[in-house]
Amino acid sequence: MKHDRATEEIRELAALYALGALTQQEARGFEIHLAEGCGVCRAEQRRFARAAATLGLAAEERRAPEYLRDILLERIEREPQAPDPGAPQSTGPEEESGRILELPPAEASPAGGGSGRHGFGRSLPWLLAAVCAALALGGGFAWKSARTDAGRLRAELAEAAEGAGRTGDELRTLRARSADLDTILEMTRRQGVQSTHLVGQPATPANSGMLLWDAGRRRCLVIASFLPAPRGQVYQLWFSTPEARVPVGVLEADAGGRILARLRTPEGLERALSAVVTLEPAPGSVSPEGPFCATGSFR
Amino acid sequence: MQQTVGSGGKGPSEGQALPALLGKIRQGDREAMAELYDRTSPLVFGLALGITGDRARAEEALLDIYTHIWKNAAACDPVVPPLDWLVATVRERALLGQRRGLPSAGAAWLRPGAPRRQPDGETGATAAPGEQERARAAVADLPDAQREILARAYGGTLSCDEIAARTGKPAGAVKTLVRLGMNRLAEGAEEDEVEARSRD
Repeated sequence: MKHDRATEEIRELAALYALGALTQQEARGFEIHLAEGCGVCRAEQRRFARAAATLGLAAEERRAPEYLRDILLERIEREPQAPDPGAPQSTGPEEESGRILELPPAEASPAGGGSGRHGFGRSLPWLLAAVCAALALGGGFAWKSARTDAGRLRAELAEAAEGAGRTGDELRTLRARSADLDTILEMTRRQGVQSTHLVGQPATPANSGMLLWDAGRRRCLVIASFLPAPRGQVYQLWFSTPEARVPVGVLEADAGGRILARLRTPEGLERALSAVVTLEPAPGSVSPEGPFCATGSFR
Repeated sequence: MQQTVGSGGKGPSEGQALPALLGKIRQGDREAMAELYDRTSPLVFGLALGITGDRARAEEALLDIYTHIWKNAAACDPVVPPLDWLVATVRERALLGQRRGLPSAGAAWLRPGAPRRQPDGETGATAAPGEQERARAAVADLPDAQREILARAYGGTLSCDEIAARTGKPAGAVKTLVRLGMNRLAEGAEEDEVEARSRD
């Protein structure tokens, strides 16, 4: 429905949108409405984008350290520019907002992300659940094996064999996960291993995880829970150095969006300022082009 | 000395300079990129620092912002005024990495009674009357209650309901304060545009 005049409600919505203070659902609804061609709301959105710019322009000026200029100029020597003026990775605020639409619906609103957020703690319960399941299956198997009723022994044995097969599968899964846990524990014990909490971004507020990086052994471990990537796209991890964003690898998630990735970091990469996860066209990009989906700083 | 975006000193004003610089940057002109940096970095760094409250993060954001501009200058939307686009980009990139829903120390300059820094060794040459001064005057004219809410909304990633919960105000009151404050700023920007057009 297109509006014929700006009401207080429309102004309120447009003002909150300009400040990023709508929930993700509200913001999407507004963007869809704008995309439908409501001129009144588009005009209000532009008015309030200007108002938001006024808030930023009122900030105090501060001189940046001189070396940053040198780093920047050196960096752009190596950075290619986007060639297509109509490329979808347009950087205007409206286009950036529009890119949120490319992502699948989030579990939680971006603004109200607190209620839907989950951190590293959520990455581990499946390990605990798997341990409990294995104990339950193992217990059931033992109980069944102990029964001595001769009339039902054959059936019991067949059932037990089937149960043992399932238990075997469970145990193999558990062993793999136990190995994962050993890797995590080993890395957390090692001196010099850096870690950072991967925090979701406005477009993907539910994304969360933990990254461990052993620069000396060039090992990187990512444990995370992300929204499933849209078809044809993958999550890709980069390390930000003062000179560039260095590709580290693609993070493969299971159907539930859970990630446990072991990656080998590039040779010679010893320090980084931060880790960034972007959404890239499969099978990955040479340089980050897609929206940021999670970031974390190395301290 | 670096010339700042709003100085309007030597050379063209920011209203003319930025589109011209962005046009050159689109053609791959690195000198234009350096000039854009010289003109705008005090504003960009001040804004990034004001939002993040952390020098390391602000420095990282500054590099990220200009690299982003360099790579994507060709895709800059000509409808959006370049200065507005720059400021929106700075805010967006400075807020990256900030956990959604958590309070931040951001946008202290918008809060009621925020002291105005005087130019000193660390501050770049302060803008002469220009868009930045007009913006500061517009913010200073807002009622305290509106400034407080706008500071929380602009300097962080809180939703309206979260701001209401943190301030103890009803959500409806927060929305109204946002609308009134933003509307006043929008009207001020419109008046400035009319005035600028009449000068031209």
